[in-house]
Amino acid sequence: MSTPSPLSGTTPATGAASGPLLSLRGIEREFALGETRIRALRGIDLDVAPGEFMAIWGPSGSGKSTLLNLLGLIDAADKGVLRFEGQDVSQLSDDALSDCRNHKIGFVFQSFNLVPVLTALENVALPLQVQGVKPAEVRRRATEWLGHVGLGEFLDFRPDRLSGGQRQRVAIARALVGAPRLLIADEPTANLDSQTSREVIDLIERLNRETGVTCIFTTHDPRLLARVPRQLRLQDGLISQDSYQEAA
Amino acid sequence: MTGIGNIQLAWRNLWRNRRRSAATILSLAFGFAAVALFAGYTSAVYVALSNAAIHAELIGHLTINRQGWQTEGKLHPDKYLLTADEIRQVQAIVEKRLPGARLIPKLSATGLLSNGKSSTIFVGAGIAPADLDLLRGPFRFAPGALKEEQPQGVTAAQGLADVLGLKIGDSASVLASTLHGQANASDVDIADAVNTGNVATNDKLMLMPLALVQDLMDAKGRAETLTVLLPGEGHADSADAQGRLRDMYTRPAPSEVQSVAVRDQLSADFKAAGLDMEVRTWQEMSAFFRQVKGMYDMIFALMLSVVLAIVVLSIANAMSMAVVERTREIGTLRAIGVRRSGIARLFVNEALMLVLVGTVTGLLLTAAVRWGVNVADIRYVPPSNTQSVPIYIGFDLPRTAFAAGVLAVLAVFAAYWPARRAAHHSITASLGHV
Repeated sequence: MSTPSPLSGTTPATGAASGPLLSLRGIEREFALGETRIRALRGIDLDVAPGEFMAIWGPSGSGKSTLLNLLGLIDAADKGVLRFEGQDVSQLSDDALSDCRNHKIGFVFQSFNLVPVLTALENVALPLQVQGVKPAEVRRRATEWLGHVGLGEFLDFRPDRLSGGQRQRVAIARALVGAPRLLIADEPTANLDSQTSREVIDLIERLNRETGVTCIFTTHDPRLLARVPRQLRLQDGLISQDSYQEAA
Repeated sequence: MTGIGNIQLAWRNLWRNRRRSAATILSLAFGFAAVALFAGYTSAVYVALSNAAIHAELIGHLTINRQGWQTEGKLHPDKYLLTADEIRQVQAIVEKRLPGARLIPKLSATGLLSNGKSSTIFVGAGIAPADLDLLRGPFRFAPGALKEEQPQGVTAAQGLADVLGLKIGDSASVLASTLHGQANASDVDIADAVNTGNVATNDKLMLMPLALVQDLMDAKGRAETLTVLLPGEGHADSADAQGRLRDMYTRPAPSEVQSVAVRDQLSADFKAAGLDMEVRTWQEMSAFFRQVKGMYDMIFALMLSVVLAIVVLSIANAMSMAVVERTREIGTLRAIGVRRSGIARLFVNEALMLVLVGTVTGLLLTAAVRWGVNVADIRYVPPSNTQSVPIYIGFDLPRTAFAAGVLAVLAVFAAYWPARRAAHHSITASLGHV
């Protein structure tokens, strides 16, 4: 059974007709490890359409997190062009990138990364506060989202009083409360047991379906991969497989 | 409230590491209290010294004499002493400009005081007994007053009386020069003997009725200086000794700016009236006040610098550690769209919260210590004094507020730099920070 989307009226546009949400051409990224240069990404070409639900997988060190960071605009490529909604992001100032992340991208982290001194409601409210939304509206939307992820009874709980799965749900609500175009999740189930992992992926999948938000996450878990329509496999900094399947 | 306000967030963050925040707040509170207490102590000393200069040294608020009297007056007294007519003119101008002010003529004499067998030098200050009572203000209840009914009665400094073995009720002779350089003598009665509280004057000074000095110097109706006592002074002193002591430390004299303004107005009035007069403020007249104030101001500046340095280093250390501990959180906030300036603002708010809590705690500490010291009646003998005085701690609002303001500004800098550095870190590196 689906619940009405708290993002009604602000649902991101879906469909390929508006062009790719993300477009990467010849993306390279290097890191220095002591004297050694490590080429994390060796030339990535990729298009991601609005509304897609995509998993990036591959062995450790294949460049999954590096690619995810670039897609989430929290890192910059050394070479190549990355366009977000057609805009070359290398041309944006740091403040413009911050605003873009705040309005258009939501993040879910492996370790939840909730602010410990804030309640669940205050954590979810953060992106809206950064946007300058009026307090009454902030409260309405944050409360709705916590209800939507099944935490309507935990508004005033601080993270240390929540379970791992509940924390990740708060993080998901925080990521989506600002009605972003893109949800980035870096191994969102890595710190959760298998039952909770399934619930979290169910939730992300449902939200993708209801809101049309583009979802990209990394995972090591093959059971989760089976449920994702598009799978991107990385190996040694290159895309070794980009496949589509019917979602389970 | 849904979203958290900046102040509430700063408050919660402050107590993440309770022990560290408490240590920082305590160091801030103790440092601030030390500065506030010293500022309060020195301001009370300034008030007491100003009252002592005006009322005990009999300087008054303003001193008027003929232009050039300071350098030439002793050589040519006849030329520089003011005549009765000039005194009346000055009186009229002062009354017009400063309604309610009192003009007190004074004439000094130097010479020899003799007990009939031996003699010693005296410096006599001639002033009418009623004027002396008025000028002494809060000190008028102390020994040493002159009496109208004793035209030959003088008050000798205790040291001077001791040198000649004179006691209260004894008679003595004074010998001095008249205006025209002739020797003149007069009998005096030792009506009182008091310790002046100053080793430099305690073996020389003698308070004498003005008429007696005028007779001695053959200068009837004349005066060398006219002392102005501004309105509202000398009448409303507390009745009991404890209250009068409090008056000494709490009743502020006119500030330098106020004194200079009145001086300039009077100088202009005298000039317009064709009187060649010189007007000096009590601050200009009291070298001791200026020197002590200069010394205390210097000590205060030094103390403030040291305390500020220690406290600001403590805040900088606390904020730097907070920034390092919360690197990952900074990365998270940056990822969800908080700008670099927003991160810096977050930590600056916390530093300001530290200063606020620290200064409020410091003020409470100040109030407690101040009350304890003032009630304890702790006494000491200041340099050049012969009698002990109590330590009284006042409250110097301008300098205390200044110290708090400087602390706040420095705390902003102390928090801004580590926060700015953290906000400029790579977001991915911050997120990976453990």
